[in-house]
Amino acid sequence: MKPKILIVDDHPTNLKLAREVLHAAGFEVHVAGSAEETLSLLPLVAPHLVLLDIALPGMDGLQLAETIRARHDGSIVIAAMTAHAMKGDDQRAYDAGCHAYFAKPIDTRNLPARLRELVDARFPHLATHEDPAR
Amino acid sequence: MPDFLRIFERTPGIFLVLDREFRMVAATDARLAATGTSREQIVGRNLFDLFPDNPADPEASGVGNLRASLERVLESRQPDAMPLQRYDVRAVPLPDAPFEERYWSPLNVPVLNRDGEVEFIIHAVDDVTEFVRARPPETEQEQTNLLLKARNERLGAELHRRTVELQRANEALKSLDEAKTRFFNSASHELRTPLTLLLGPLEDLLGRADWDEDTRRQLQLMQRNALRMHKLVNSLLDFAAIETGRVKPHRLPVDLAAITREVAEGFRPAIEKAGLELRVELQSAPTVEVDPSIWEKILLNLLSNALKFTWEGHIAVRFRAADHHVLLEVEDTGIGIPDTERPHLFTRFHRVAEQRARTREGTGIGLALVKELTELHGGTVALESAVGRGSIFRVTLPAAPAAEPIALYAPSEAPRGFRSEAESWFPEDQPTRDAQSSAETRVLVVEDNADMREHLGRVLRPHHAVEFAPDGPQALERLKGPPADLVLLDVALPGISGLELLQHIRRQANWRTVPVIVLTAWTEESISLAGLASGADDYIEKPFRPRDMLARIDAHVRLARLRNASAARERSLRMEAESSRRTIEAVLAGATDGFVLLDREFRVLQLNAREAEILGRPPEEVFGRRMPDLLSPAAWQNAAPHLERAMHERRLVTFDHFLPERDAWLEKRAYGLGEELGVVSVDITARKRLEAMMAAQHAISRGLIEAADEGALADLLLSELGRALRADVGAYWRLAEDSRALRLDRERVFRTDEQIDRFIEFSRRLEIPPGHSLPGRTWITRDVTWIPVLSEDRGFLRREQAIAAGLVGAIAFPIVLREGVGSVVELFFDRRFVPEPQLVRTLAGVASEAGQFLRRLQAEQARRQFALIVRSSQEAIVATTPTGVITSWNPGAERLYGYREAEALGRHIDLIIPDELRDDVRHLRARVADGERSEPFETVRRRKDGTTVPVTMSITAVTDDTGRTVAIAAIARDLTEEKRRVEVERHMLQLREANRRSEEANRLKSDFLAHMSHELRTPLNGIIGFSEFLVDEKVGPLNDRQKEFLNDVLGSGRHLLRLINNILDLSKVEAGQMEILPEWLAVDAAITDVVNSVRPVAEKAEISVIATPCAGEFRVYHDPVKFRQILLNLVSNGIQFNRPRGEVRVSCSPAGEDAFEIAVSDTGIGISPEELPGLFREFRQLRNAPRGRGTGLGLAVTKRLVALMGGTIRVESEPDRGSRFFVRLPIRGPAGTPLP
Repeated sequence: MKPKILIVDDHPTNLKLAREVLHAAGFEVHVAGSAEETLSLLPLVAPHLVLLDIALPGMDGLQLAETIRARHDGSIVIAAMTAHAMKGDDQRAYDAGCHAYFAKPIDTRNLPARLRELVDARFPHLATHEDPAR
Repeated sequence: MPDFLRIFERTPGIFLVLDREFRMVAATDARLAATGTSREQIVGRNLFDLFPDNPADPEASGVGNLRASLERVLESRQPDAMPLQRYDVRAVPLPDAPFEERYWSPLNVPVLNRDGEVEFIIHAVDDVTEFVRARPPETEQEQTNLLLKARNERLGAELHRRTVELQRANEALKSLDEAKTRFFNSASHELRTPLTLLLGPLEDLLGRADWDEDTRRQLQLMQRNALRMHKLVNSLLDFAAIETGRVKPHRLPVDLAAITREVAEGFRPAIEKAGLELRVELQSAPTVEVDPSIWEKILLNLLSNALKFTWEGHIAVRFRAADHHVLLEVEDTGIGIPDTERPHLFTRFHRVAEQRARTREGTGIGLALVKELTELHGGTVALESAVGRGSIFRVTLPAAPAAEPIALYAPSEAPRGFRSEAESWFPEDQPTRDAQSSAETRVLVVEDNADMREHLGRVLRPHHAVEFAPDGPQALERLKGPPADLVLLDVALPGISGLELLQHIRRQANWRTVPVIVLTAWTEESISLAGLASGADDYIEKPFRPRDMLARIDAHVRLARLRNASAARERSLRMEAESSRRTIEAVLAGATDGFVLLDREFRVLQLNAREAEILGRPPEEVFGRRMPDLLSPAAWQNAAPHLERAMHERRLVTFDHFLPERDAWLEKRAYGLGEELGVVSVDITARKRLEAMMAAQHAISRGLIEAADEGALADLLLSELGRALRADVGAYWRLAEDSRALRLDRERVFRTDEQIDRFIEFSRRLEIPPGHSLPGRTWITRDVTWIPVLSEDRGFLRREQAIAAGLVGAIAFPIVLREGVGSVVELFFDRRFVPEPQLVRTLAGVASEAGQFLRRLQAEQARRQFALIVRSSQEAIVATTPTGVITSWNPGAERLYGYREAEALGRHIDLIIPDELRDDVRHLRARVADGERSEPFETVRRRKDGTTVPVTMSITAVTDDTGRTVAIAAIARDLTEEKRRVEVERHMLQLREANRRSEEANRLKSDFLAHMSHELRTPLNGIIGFSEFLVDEKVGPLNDRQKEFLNDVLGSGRHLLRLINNILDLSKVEAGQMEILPEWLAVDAAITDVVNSVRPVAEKAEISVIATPCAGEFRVYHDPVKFRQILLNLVSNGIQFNRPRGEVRVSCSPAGEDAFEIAVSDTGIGISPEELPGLFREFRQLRNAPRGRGTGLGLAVTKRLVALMGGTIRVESEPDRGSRFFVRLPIRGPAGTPLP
């Protein structure tokens, strides 16, 4: 079974890049353009991991992460990414319940493997499956 | 209905009402007073004829500004506020009077008629002249400050300290600002280079045909992002260039309409992709001189802004040129701008918070740039906006007309960046709406067949704006809207026939002249003819040739326009003819001389209308009757001897003829013609009455000299005026004690009659409130008021009594005191009474003289009361003669100055003036004595004990009745305590304000840096990510050249990222945002970490890195991250600028007791001695270093980090041998670091 990932980014190009990279790495990829859209998609998609941009219009990524954590009781892995590489961003992401933090520009060569590790750690039954990202 | 005109004229504001031609229709009294004009002088005249620019001042631009503003009001039908204007208006209403400078803050407000057209413009003005001029005398102010400082040593020192603080804060702020500007400037330049390197290969790649669609799309995405970055960087550059004053408008003769169209049309795809309509409304304009690149940037930024915040509706670009100005309008139907945001809208880096926008990207520079560029070009930006309805930005630039446009203005690269940015706001693959034509012709097509509609749409759309009505009812509905330019009408419609519809069109007033082309499938000529007969302009048979149809539409639209223009011309000619006919009739009817021809028996043979009027009968009653029968016996007796003499002696006889029955005087010239007598009559009643009035006025003036009280005044007025005007009775009304009603005070009867006594008796019982009866009306209007015929005036309270007494007409005038109307004089006549304007003016003059008399009486009384007040006042009140001899000295003055009254009286005022102020005071007193007004001011005075005392001083002239200055009063209040408090408060306030500004500026710039970081990284994510993805052949296999080019893109992208990170570090240090978190760390471990991390790179470059450890466990107290960064930068540099098989050594040694030193040496290319001094500056790259390896920022960042950590860095180098960098740091962290 492929790991399911939901990518949240309001910037179409960046959304597309993450989608392409993770799709090529063997993830089942779903996308959302805003926090609100993400929350409505979550029950339908039931992803293993949500990769979210912190700077979102309306409800921002940190609030989204907190909401997901509250609703799903930690059953979904949350990874944050942001181009806003200022001091303290990473800490705020962890405080909001994110399990990992990536600075943009994303490293297309390492990102899939890092995400895969996060998913495997939480869902061991998936790890036995063949993993094209490795 | 109240007299609105009068109410308006009395309104205290400065208002002028203009019609569409800028003719003055009405003005308030305040306006007349301000411009020194009279109503008769201005009403009906053109504003610009009366207030020309001051010819002596070439800089006067008030009139040009005003005209531009008024034209904007006509154009936009919206109020238009003008900036502070300096108007030169004539000081007194004489043609040769000098111009005087006045500062006005004007607002022009349109008054729309029922059709929504501008009918009038209200020109409302705040006169701020006094405000602008009001400045305290500066020299005196400065001296006051000096004296104060001396007096209050302690306070002065305190103030001085604070002033220094303040200056320091301001200087720090200023230099921080300059540093940042310099920095943005050089950073932006540096960013451009890799961007260009990135765009080049991308374009090459895109130029190839051998891409699959997927790859091409990705490349296009990369390109779009790179273009956006390019735009961002360019905006930064513009901003920095303005900041450093390096932008000067480069004016070229250009066809601005064409440029505007080109730039606007460039945005069309993006706008239409957003589902919006773009309207481009250009008025072709003569060639003007404008900097086209500034124009282009202004327009691009406004369009980009409009698109960002508009979700439905349209974006309109309007351009027009007028009178040395060009006007650009960008209107949107977007979310609008709340009032609270307006003050900051054009501030740099300011971004409207929490708005629904297409993107949150944005630098906060766009609108600031628009404003700064506009102002650079000498223009203005105005904003009109309503939340939820949209915004209009109006840019007005001065533009001199020029002869010929230069052949071609090549548009810059700028639009590309803006467009690609705008396009990135929309999700891809969204179908674009049918492009609609921007053509100005609107064609309404009434056609029931859907296929035919589609076909017509395809034919017409590229040339015209097309609307469709698919059936009769919808077409009828459409006729209620604004008319189209042409109607294309299918004759065969369901429900209603095309011909019926045509008749509807022709009945509709605003559609009547719209050309209609009938579209018919029937070829029978009769149908076509019927169409033409019922009002169609042309017909076209189906099937038709598209080109033919377009040509005919074009021809009819042009024809219709010509027709409309000539109809308008004809209308105006007809009106002109009509008005000249009326003028002639008016002249004839208005002839002022009467003429009558009599026979020997004095029978009337012939007369004109005027003479009939004089005789008081219709002409047909007069013909053939004898003159003695037409006049009263008394009147005939006055005339007969003169007429007989003229008749018999056949000569000209001139005489004044009094008609007692009409109280009229005629000057008659009778010509004896033998058998006939010609008599010309001129009405000189007014002149005669005035002669009497002037005599009366003279008598009153003389009498007032003797008059002792108001009773004497009343008697004088009633007797003199009553006699002069041949009144029957006169009354003098006075305001009751409670000021609520008028009561009869005195009367004078000229015609003895019992009924008149009754009338007086009745009047005595009345209490007349304001507005009632004749005295009450006069009370309200404060002007001469009359009732021609009392019996016809139902509002006149004593009507019955007056009729019984034979009183017919009446006149009254008020006597105005300081606090309002004090009394009213009323006169009654046995005849109809309508005063001539001259009489009204004379009465007003008498009233004013009487008012002066009463005011003088009041003043006498007030003076007695005033003396009491002066004695008891807390303030120091000193009166002197105009030459300065003290004549009055109150107890307040004794307290303040220390001299007793007896000591001061008779001395010169210089007694209390400090020596250094004497000249100033003398000048000021001389000006006040000459009638100049002086506002209260702060100064100092000398006391008896030699000390000075700060005071608020007000100096006034005391004048006598003739306006001559008889004394000068100086009123002073002790300011010692207040002065001290205010001074301290003011300085504190300034300090706080400076600090607030400095904090605000820093916060803005920090926000900007954070924002920049995000903005620059976001597009890099796409560029680096996609090129990595492609290089890794995740999309498909690449050939070698493709791979090589993509690696170039990737390399440039990464370089850019390094550059941005360095820039951010640098900025953080500059902005004081780099935080240091020191801890105890082992130096050796840190060195080993760094050396290990660079090893892979070093090995690849065949460089060996050797670390020499310190002796023992050497620990220092520093921020580990920053410490590693310093090491990493130096070691990476050593590797980068080395030669193959070279080496880099890192060592550490103690330096004295408190410091240690890290040395990093390489065997590389070295640095020449002349390049050493600037080595640590930003963007300093070595001449012989390989290009493109470093960011030019590494050493600059390193140096700053070292400094931040309390250390120093130095370098030794020898070209071709290598360099050695030494970093010396304190062991226990920067000085003052508290240790754990």
